[in-house]
Amino acid sequence: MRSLFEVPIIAAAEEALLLARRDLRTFWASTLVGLPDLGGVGLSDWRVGQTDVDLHCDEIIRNALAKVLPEVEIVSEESIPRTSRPTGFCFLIDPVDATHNASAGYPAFTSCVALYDGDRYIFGWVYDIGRDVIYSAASKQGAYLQSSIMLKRLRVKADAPLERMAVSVLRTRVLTGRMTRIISESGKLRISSCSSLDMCLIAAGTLDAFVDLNEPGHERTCDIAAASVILQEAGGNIFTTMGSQRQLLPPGLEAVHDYQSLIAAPSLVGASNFIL
Amino acid sequence: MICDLSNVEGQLGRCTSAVIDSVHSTMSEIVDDFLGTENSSSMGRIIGDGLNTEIAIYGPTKDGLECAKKTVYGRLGAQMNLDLHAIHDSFEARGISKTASLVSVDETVLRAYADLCRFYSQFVQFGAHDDAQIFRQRQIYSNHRVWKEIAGLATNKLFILSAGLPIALGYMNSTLDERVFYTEIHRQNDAGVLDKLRDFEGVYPDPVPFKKESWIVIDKAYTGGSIDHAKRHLRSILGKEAQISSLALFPKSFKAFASADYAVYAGRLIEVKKIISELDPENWHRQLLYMEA
Repeated sequence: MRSLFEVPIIAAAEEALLLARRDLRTFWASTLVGLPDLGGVGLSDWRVGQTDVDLHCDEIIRNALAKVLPEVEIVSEESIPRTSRPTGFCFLIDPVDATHNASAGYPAFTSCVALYDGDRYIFGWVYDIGRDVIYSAASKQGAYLQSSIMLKRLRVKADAPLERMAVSVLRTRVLTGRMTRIISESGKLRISSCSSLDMCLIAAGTLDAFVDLNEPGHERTCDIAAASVILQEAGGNIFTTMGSQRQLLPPGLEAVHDYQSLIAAPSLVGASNFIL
Repeated sequence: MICDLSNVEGQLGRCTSAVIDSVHSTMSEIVDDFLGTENSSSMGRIIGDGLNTEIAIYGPTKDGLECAKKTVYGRLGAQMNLDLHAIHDSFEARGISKTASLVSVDETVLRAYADLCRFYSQFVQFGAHDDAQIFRQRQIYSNHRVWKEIAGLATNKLFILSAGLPIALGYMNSTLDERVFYTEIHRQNDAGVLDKLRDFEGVYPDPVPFKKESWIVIDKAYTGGSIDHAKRHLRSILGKEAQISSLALFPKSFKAFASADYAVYAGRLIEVKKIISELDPENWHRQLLYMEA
């Protein structure tokens, strides 16, 4: 694998994250693959929000970034984040998105890093740990998927009617009419419970939509910032259940608490199948 | 490498032949001065057969060499402003730099690269893919007028891995030519050999269906040995009747230049047989610089 983008700070971040990827991969092979019943890992209940897995992956990513870009601030889901808007570059890290999957040994979880600059996220990096593939994108430079061997430019699929769509959902506790329609009418239905991965899969043309219709929803900025850059660079977008653009917050306290619903799709046309 | 007349990179490559020639001489003096100082006692000038075109130095560390290059260019910059002498854009420049980003290439080129990687992966040891150069391409040769001129020399183009890959991708991105093939030459001192499961012996994709068409082998040339080797190999596959020519990119020696059918020297495509008789083997590298065809 290699860094892809030319903007110096992004190229440096990519180099750092390639180092992190090696350590995360080692952690996967030595520990995560043994879950859920691996002794001595000290996994606390994922429902309390923070596990040893989160903390270990957080440390790996932080150390890698700090080594290469010590001057750039890091806000992480696992740390006490800043309360004011960052003034310069700032990383937003979700060391393990879908910790509950990792804890249970279900191989749909990622590490996510987004780089914020001024008023927007300019770089997204999502590492699918189990499959050892990296999704990455930089503003106006495209979105890419790479493995140890392959490099592929990402592009969302063309819009399709619901009966031909592959849709990933977060289950709603109350089965509304819309959710019933999605379950019964969509071409394929998936529930991975890992929104960052599902958004990357839309970018790659594997899925047609990711839908969290819960109110207030489960998707925070820290969960989706990196994947949003990737999806948008691949031609897709993120929406609210009312059809407006889903807004992302700057790295900080609010970005790890802004739980909202989400529709991610190749376009508003595709998203319209799920809008209220 | 400090400066190479066969492929004049950077701002110097945008200047006139006379300026390049003059700067090359000045640079040579600056390098000799620099190497005479105490700070550079562990460094030296690389001198030898087949290095007429280059000003190059050796040293114990890459960082040290980079620092030396910066110092040399800094001293040159104090003497003259190259910006004032630039007359060419990068497309017409007297050198082709490996500075284009892989992510900027056309989708067809990226797919062709992916196909090659998928094919080549079978020759690499499991676990060694991360370090194999072929899978880690990041920068390719930039767009330049010679690529389109080369496209017309033969129907099929054969490049030599792995150093030829960024050249091939740069060529493809400029021309969108899909008739690009690859081979590999195996040397015992190849550092990558330890990561190999087995050798890639043939040509990819299969060249046989195109054996009645014209071919050209394209590679950088120090002595021309690799091109000759690849040419013989291709002929052994396609048969004695095959039309195979050769193109030496940035030839470093008169022998490498003279043994090819075509050469790209200082950003210009040259048909060797047309001018070889006019060249002085001692001064060929400067003579070619002034041939602005």
